[in-house]
Amino acid sequence: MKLVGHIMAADVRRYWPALAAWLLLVAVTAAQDGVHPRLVAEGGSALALGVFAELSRLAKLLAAFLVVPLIVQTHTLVGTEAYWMTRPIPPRALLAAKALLIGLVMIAAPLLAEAALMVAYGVPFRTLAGVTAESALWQSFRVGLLFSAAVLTRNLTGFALLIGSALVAGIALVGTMLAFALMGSDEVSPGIPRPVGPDDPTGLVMWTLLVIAAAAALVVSQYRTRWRVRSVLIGASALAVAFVLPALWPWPFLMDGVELPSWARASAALHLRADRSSVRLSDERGMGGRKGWQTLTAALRVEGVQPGWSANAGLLESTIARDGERLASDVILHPQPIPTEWDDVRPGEGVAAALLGVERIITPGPAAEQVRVPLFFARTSEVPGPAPFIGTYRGRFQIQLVRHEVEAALRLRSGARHAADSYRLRVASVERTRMRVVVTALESSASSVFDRRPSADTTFYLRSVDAREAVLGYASEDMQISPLLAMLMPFGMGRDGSPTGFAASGDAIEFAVPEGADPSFAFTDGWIDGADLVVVQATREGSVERTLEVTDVPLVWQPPADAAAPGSAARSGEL
Amino acid sequence: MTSAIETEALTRRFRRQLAVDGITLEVPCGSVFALIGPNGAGKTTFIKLLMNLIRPTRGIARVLGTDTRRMGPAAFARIGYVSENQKLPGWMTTSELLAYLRPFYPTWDDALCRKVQRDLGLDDGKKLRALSRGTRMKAALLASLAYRPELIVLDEPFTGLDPLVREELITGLLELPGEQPWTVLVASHDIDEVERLADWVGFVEGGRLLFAEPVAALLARFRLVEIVADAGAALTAPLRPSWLPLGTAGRTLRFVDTQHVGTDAAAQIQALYAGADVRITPLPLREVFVALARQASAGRQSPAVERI
Repeated sequence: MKLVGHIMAADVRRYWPALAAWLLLVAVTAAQDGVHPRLVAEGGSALALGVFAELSRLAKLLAAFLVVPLIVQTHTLVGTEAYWMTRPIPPRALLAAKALLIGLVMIAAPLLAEAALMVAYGVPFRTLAGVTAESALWQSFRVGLLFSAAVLTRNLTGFALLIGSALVAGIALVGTMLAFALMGSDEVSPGIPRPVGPDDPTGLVMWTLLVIAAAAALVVSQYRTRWRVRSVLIGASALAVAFVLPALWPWPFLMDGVELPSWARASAALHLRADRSSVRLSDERGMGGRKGWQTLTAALRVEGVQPGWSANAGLLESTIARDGERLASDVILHPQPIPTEWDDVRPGEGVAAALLGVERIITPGPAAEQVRVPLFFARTSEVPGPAPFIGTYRGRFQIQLVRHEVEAALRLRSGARHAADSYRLRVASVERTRMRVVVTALESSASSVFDRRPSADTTFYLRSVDAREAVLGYASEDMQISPLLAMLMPFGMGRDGSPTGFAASGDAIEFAVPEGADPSFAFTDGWIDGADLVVVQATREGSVERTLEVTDVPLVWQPPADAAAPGSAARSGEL
Repeated sequence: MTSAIETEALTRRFRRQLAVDGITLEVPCGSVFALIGPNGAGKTTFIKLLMNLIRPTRGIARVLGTDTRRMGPAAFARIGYVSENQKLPGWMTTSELLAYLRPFYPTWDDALCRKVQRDLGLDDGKKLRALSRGTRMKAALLASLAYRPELIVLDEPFTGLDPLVREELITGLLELPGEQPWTVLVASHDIDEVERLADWVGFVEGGRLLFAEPVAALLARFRLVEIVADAGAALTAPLRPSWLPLGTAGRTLRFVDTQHVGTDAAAQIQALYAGADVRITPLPLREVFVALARQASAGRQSPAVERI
């Protein structure tokens, strides 16, 4: 241990300016993450600070690429010329010293900064611990990769070349795969590989842990043997395990603990109903279809949903049968919101109205159209036709239930605030015109992959109980460049756009009524005086399977586009 | 343990090039062993194998009784290694380097360290990267002597150094050990420097060790023979395999006798060239190696080579 401290102290003396600069960047970006949303929410001019924040974030990203190889390559593990290689410096002590210093500077310091930020935003300890553990995982992942590259190269130039080559190779690989996918797009199914279950980050967490372990194996091997080929082989073998094992892992210990309400368990409790007149067959894209596929769609509705709940439906399998003839589709679709008996046209709107105790919800944008759900898919080349095909449709669907709850109802004035668990919302200001209200607010939340509560989507409403009306709001965050950075970096540095972690933002929540949509409506003083800002959380809970059956469906199959008669304008068939 | 270094058929191949070709060697404890050979002969590769800086393709090497492939901190604590190729931490001063290395060596001798630093006249104010090459080599030597290593391995330590610095280094190596002599293995192509330093010598050419023996024995068995024939007489006797021809100039035949052992050797030459004027003189080490190198490059096999 004495030797470990001795080596660490020498490295710190050697690179203290770089280390100090890194720690300063960590502190500055954390402070900016805390201060910038507040400034935005207060309506101050935060543009300069925002640009500075993004630049310092970029500098932090580049500094991370610099600090790790500097520390590691002080005692380079490549070549035969380094003086330390013929000195009695125990490889174990050397590795421990490097790992400890890098761990303290590159992992512990950012975690500490993030934890301080969460404390400042009042995140409860339990959530804070989970988020910190998750951040430690991602930081270790990043540092592990950089550490691996640093032990395999002699100097910064070699390190940069290796990282650059790996990036280029990765981009080339993805590009090649995309090119092949696009070339064969006619054959690509419009669906997804398997039904959607509760969110389960177990595989991702395991994969990350195994990649960290692979990096550790490579690094340890290189410190023990300084034999690059052997170390790379060990690392590559461990990496192969990292890609295989999560897929075979049988215990989803991090899966969201979703709830299936008792009223939904009975087989007769929920059922699907299709509007026969809405059935369409199309070979065009944009209806869940894909080039080379025919898609049968219809307006679908779920019945039997209890108040406070809405539903999403996803196709699992479907058939159309007639006198022994049978067409089958195994295309699986991601569940999408569909109306329940509480909704008029727009899914979830009736649920929200009931939850808010209003008679109508005013939604910005054009009038809602009927939601059409794909019922059946067939390759254009395989469909019979053009003779009518009258058969019985049978489709098996996954119905995912979504629970809606009022998270908060705040008076519409500056300073109104809400705090529950790790969610915080504070109204900073309210601006109003006749048809538009903008609420600026400071919003923060924290969650982690270790938190098994299902994730929730937040929706804002401006409600007037007296008028029995509510207006749906759209929130825009103040982030400007960060999402771009997040796209460039997997698990980007700091705010990474991932659904979990800690996030604070200054939001502008806009409630606007389209001109001419309702001439009788206006944000009058009376309307606003009694209004409150309502935060609704929609949580995806458990699923059930239901079958939709439609008998005697006369379908006119549309012939493939290239076989259609000249001048034919019809692209869809009526039931 | 009588040998500080032992190798058996030690071989290292870099793709198609055989850098070290089956060298079998023993370096006696307490000796100063000079490994001589032209540039590119394989000396540095051989030493890197001994220091476990590279792995042998074949064969085995033991340094201070330890298989080099398993050499760890305990073995390195007993070895001092100085190489012209070694990259010292340029950001440190000499004192910082010594302070950094000190905790790794249980046998570190502060008094000896101060003495060597004083004797070598090492200035401490500058970073190592700012020092001249000679001063850096002195610092490297100091950092390799201060813990009284049992074995010192030097790879081309004198290359590019001025005579004064060379003298200081050699003096340091020869005078410092005191009562407990250390073993020194020095690889060099500078024969003049090692002649006064070494008591054993080995010659490497093309990755092969052509011979290894005590310097005294080597010098004793090599003689320059000059035979001046009488006017009108011819020198017709054939050269023996152990005689390395240097050429004929007029009536004078010159060759190196590589097996000039015993009192009979001169008499035999005299008898062979009866009537001629035979002059036999000792050879300096440099001339011995020039002759051997010439022989090696000509690809001749001789008893001198077979002695290995």
